[in-house]
Amino acid sequence: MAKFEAGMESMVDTYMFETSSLLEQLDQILMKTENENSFGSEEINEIFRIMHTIKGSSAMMGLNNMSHLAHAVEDMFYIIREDNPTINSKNVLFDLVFSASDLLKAEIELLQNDEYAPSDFSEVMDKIEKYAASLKSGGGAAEEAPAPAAAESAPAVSAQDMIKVSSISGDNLTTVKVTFEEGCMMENLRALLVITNIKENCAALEFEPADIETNADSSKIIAENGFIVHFRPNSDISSEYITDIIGKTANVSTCEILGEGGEIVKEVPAYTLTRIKVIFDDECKMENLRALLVVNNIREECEELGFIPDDIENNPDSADMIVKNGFIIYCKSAFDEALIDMIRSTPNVKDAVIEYKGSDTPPEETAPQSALAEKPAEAAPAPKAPEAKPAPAAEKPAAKPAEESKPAAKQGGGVKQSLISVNLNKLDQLLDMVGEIVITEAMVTSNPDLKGLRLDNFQKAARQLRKLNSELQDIVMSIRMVPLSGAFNKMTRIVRDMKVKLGKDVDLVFEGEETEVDKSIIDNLNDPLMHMVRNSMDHGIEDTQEERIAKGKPGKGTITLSAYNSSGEVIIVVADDGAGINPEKVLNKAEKNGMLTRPRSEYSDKEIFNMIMLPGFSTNETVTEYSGRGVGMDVVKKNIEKVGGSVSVDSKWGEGTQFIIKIPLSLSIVDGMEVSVGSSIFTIPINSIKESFKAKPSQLLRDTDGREMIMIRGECYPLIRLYELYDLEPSTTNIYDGIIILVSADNKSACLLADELIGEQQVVVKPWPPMLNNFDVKQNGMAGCSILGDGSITIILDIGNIISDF
Amino acid sequence: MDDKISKSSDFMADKYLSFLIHGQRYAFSIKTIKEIISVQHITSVPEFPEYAKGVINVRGDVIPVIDLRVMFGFPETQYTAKTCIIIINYTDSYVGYIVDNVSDVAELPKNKISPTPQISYKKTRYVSGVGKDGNDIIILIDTEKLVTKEMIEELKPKK
Repeated sequence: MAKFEAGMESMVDTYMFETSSLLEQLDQILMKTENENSFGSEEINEIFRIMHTIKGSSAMMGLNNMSHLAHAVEDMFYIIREDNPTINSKNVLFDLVFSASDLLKAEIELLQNDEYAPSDFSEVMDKIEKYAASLKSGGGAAEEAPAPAAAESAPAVSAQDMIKVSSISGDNLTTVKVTFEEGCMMENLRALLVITNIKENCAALEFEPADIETNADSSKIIAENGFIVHFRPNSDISSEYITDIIGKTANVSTCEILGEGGEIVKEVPAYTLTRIKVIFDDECKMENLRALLVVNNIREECEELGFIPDDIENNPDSADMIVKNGFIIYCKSAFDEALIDMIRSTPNVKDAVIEYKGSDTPPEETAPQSALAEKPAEAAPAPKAPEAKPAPAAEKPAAKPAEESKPAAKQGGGVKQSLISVNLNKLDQLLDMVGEIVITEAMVTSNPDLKGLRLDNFQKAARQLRKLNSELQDIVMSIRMVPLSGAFNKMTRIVRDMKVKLGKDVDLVFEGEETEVDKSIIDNLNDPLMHMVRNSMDHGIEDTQEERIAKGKPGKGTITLSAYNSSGEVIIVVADDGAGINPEKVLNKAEKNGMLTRPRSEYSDKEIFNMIMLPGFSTNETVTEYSGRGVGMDVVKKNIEKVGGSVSVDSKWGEGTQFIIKIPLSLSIVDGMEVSVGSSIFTIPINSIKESFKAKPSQLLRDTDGREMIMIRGECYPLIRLYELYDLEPSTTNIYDGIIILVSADNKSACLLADELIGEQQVVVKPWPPMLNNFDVKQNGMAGCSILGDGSITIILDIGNIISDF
Repeated sequence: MDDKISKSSDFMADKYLSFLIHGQRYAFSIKTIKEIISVQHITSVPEFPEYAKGVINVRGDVIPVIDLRVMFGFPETQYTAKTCIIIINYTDSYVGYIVDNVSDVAELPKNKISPTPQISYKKTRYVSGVGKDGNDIIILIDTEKLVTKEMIEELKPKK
């Protein structure tokens, strides 16, 4: 990441993580509001807040293009929020926001490249501006919106422009010297942030050095001499309010008010207060006293505490104010989310939300704010210890869990969790380490030196160790489990886009999206799911509603994504209630492509349907933007097989199609049965073993080609001699001396002949070294390898692959 | 290769680890080497070509091993106490090469290396040059070329 200064990489990581989760949140809000076809004020505020955060953090990272785009969107929603215009063309609005969100996402991806060059967003920004302008002019009464709003709506008001607008006149200016935390880097951008935060509330504004936006060297000057701001607040705002905002800006360490001669008159300590808005139950009366209750409840937990209105104790009128504006608490606490829980548990509290940034404050709240501005200043007379970390990294994650728990609480009964985010690499390392421990445990407990010794206490301790190890393993695996809802939610977006393009009306329904799968598997699921959903949208659902109604189906199509657990596997079903697959058509096509190896009548429906996942197969005559190029379904199959899963298709002509994906819960540790063949040891995954037994002569049959079969309880299974398959030298070729293992996968079963069963063991799957892929090991039924307790290597067999050829 | 040279410090630049196969001295550039270990138990993997002996476990890493003797077309011999596995570091993995005997580290500045003789013989494919150490001739092997897809295709046993 050459673009960023050294030492900022962790900040970049945090930035990328935060921004992408914010964008994901944005998508969800948009999907929801689009379905309901109306913007609630809460949604508008949320979008506004998301864009505001992205704008701020992008500017801080020096990513001006992203910051400006976010700013443009933010402005658009500012107009929507403030002026409440009638929005005639909602679709245009949604498309604009979606495209902006897509661009930002793409940009984040680009950031991960070494050679990052900022993309040009001007096209979309133009569109957004135009749309915002049309909103504004259509708003009628909105013409009288306050001047700051007008200044805001131009997307890239540079700080210089601000000065021109606000020619300094009169001498009642307040001068403030701002210093930033040492080593916070890019002081000029942080200074710009200060200016952006306060400019709305200032009638006049000037600062030194003036070229912070264009001259990167100005950061040095600021670091040495501080950043001087002269301002005169708007007439309805006290200057304390402004210094308060400055103090609250990220990374500001001190903010001193200077007198005429440059002497320090007053020092405003910088603090990062969390701002919480509390909403009480409707009609609960005496809100002021209830607010007092809340304050008393949390007083113990907070280092600093302020609230608006601040006269709740002695002014009954403040109840009305609370009803109108909500009750705002400013506080400092190490556990924001715990605090929120506490507030929520207070009687009559309907909800409490962390708002966290003072600069979001709408102008109509200015009256109580001046009261607030004094309050924290009183509350924190003692100079504060500097924040432990630079603010952008420290402040936001703290507020994050609470933000995230908010939508979750609304949907699912209010389960709150304390979350931390961990780098996936660390979890991978942890898993590797646990894998090593499992191997080492086996190495110790089945050490050849112990053979023939009677060690009761050792065995006892070893059992305890094994128990703890398997618990440890379960915990590590559970840490890596993530719900499928993330992958599912991405599909809403695809369905939405295709709905518009194809003109089909389709509902997307989720079932069991809380089912959890290993993180590494989820990453490989997105593409296959997307292909399948697209396929269902494009080919599955009928082209017109009339067609559907004629078949006796509701006009609106449904695509169902469901997931559930079943014996160590997760089953994901993508089902549509569309036209279904015509087996005749598939057969014709397969015949034309020369893919049939047997007479047509010998194919079962299931086999026919699964043909659509063979490479180079597409029944659709026309190629559309989304599907029909003959790639796709075979890619789906490959991707899912890559993570050890399998796909099958089921369909009823006229009623719909189902894609059934089976994936293992986890890739890395499997229960295996070790068998020996000559000097080699193979591991067969336990979940594909049905039974193992010694064959009796009466069970052995031969078909007309001389192929051997084993009869078990009236059913015949083909016999695969492992030593023949892999060209090994077995200890015995006599079928009655060896052991027969009945295995099954993908609805097929077969018997394997091995020399001997060695025992059951948990093994840690190691992928083949990349170079070995050149040797086609995977195509030959060897899924991976694993290291045994004695340090030797065993090969894990891929049963599905082996028996597919028989 | 240029990329790698610039990354490593100068004192490794002209150094080569020389080893014997069938009486001839060969050498790998020392920069590519991870470690040298003695021959240990090799787990054979079905379907591997004859020269790829299987995989070994080096402190938890599964590493494929290739017998250079067989790869270069010399007759196979018993492994002895002198037989070594040289583990080469590729960008995303390791590969071990079995050699008869590791001899020493030779310093071969550029002027002592002559380019690969242009003989249309397949073994020259992975030769990067011929070094002269006194009267001795050392054939320098380009480890990258040993594992190319084409190389493996060519050496695949004909079925």
